[in-house]
Amino acid sequence: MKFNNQESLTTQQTVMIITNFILGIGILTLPRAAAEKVKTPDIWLSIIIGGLIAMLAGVVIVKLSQQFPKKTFYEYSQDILGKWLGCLLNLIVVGYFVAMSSVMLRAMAEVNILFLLEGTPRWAMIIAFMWVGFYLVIGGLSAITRLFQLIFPITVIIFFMIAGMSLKVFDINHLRPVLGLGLGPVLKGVQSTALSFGGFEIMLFLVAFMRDPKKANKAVLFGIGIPVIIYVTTALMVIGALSVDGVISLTWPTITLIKSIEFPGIFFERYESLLLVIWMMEIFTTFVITHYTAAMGFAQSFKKELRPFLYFLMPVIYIVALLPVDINELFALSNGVGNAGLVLFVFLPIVLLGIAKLRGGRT
Amino acid sequence: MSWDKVKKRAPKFLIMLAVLVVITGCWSRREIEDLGMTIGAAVDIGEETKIEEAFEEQGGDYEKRNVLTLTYQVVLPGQSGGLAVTGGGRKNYKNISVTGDSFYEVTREIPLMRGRPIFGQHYKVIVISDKVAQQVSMKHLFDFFIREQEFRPSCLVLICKGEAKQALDHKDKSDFPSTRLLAMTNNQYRSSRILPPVSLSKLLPEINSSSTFLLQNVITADGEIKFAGAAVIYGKTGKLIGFLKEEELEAVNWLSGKVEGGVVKSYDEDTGQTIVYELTSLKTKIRPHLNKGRISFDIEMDSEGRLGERWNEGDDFDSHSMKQIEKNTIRQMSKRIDELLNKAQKEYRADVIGLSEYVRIYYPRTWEKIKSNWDDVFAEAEIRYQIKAKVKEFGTTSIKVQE
Repeated sequence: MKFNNQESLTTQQTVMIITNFILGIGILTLPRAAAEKVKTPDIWLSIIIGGLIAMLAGVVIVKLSQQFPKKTFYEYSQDILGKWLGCLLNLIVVGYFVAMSSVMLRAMAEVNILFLLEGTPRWAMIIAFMWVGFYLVIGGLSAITRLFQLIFPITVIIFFMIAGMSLKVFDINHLRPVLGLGLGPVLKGVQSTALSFGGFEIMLFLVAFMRDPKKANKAVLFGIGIPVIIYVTTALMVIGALSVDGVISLTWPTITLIKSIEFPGIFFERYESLLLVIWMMEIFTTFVITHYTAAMGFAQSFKKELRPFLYFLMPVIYIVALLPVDINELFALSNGVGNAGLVLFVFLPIVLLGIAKLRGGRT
Repeated sequence: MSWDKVKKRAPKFLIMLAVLVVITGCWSRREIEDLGMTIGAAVDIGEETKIEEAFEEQGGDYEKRNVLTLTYQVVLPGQSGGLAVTGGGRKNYKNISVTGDSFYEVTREIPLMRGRPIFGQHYKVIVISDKVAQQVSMKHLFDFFIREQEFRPSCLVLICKGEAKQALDHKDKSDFPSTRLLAMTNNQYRSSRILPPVSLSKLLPEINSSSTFLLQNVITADGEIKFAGAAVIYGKTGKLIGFLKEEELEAVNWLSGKVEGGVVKSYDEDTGQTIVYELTSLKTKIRPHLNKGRISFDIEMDSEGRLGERWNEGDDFDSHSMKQIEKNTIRQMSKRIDELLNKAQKEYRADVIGLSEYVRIYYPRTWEKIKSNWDDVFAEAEIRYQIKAKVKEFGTTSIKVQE
């Protein structure tokens, strides 16, 4: 196979990939998506619960992958379900990654048009983004990993710097009362917060490349834990500054938050471009990894070379990215992809693990 | 490197160079000189300017009902350095007024009149005339300003009693009227008669939750401006229902604890002479109570300050004399708070203090039931308060006239 000449991944690298994959659109939209459902300031609790669910699902996925050493999901799905059914499932998973990849591209374009490049057409931004991504992806998993390792610290430093700045408009009263209306509203929000942790499913493929697959559990817990911290911080600062009543009507609440703070006299007065930069990098990482994984799905299902599929998927992703007519359709597609992910990677792995155990017991 | 290698790589290198030249650049770049840098806006009742009327006579008309007049304050390029005092007292800004029905449309009429269309990334203030605020709900008034991504959410919102565009036109040419308004809101550390600034991002939750809130009021006279109290925006209608005078606004700030500094003037009980107490800090504790469905509040105000000025007799080195001053101050503050509460609960029947937040925090379940009706509940609520004042020091000197 084409994949065996790749370097194997250390545990830390695996964590980087999961974290970068999970962080994406959520940084900008999660506070609103959650506040719409929860309607109390407790959305940070929903995020923590959502994260715990994701961790649980991640652990199940790791268990499943550990049953088949050195094999990715695309390979062992056929072992579990048989050739044809496995192949079909692979295609569905590929479809999921293609859709996710497209959502990333389109969200990137939408935010860019609104805040940065008013006159630039969407196709121009998307194509430029895709080619840069492609350049990275043909370098293989090790190139991707190296870039992620570079991007991660930059993201964290800038993010927490911005979070610190927002203390200027922070009002603790906006976050009170805690659990004022009980757990009910918090649980309502869990579905939408759990969606924002989509990305841990990459462990279905990464375990096969890990140098030490036994540590996969640890990797997935840390890989989800870091985004939990970042998302909770985002929610706290956005709600603390704009209050639940304000957040529910903001398309991109986190950007509005950064735009409502000004520091006259300090080197820069406005910091939203910094936030947009790290956000764009996170979108890029998610886009790259989904593109790569989707192509890997084809290559491994049909036992062919990877590169032709990378080429083949570019126009597909591009077309899907331009399918949503307006921003509400984009949010709907993004939600749909998230829900599909919930079924594919939370419930299905349990079933597959069951079958694998049963079969394993027989042979 | 051998010559062969150079020859081999040259084409690649040339292509890269060509790509650099062709590809880089800004897709939809606009030169900074070509932007109509706008720093403030004023909204008035629709009344066409003479120029507009003249335009219309010559056919420059389109279908509209003239609901609003929007005035943009545009910085004139080339003359606006930091301080920008131009020799002959020439203005370094220009106010452009357009009349129409929607903010967006009238904004896009400006490109028909000027070479530099409005560029809104540097908005500092929006001033709304009280007449507009009385007629149009805040929800509609701010839809454009909150929706449009060019307006920054940090942009400040003020109400002007009278014509709002007057507030953007000063006699004094030393600074831009918009930035002066902005700078004045930062003076809270010197006066407690200024409302904590309300920006677009703070306005949004108030509008969304239909709660009553205050906006800083500006008055104008002969090209000069003054902050004078606050306008009361009623939650249910989103319209302006009245004003608080500056002393009443100060009482609101005391009750809500949003004081960074200010003075309290009182008259000595016996002699009637003036005493000035300077507030250096004020901490407020608000605790709502729910008793058999009735809401009441206990508000504790704990202030520290210094003796700023005294005209009555007394020895400042004597702590008994200081107690006298504290007593006078507390009496004065109580009087003013009573007046305010009377006005808020009886006259306006509107929660101008923002007590609703404490009910939401302490009794979230009850709040869900009463929030749609909050202002009426507030009007009936009992509000008890307690003031503590402490004179910490009295400055460098206490004058002692020898008899």
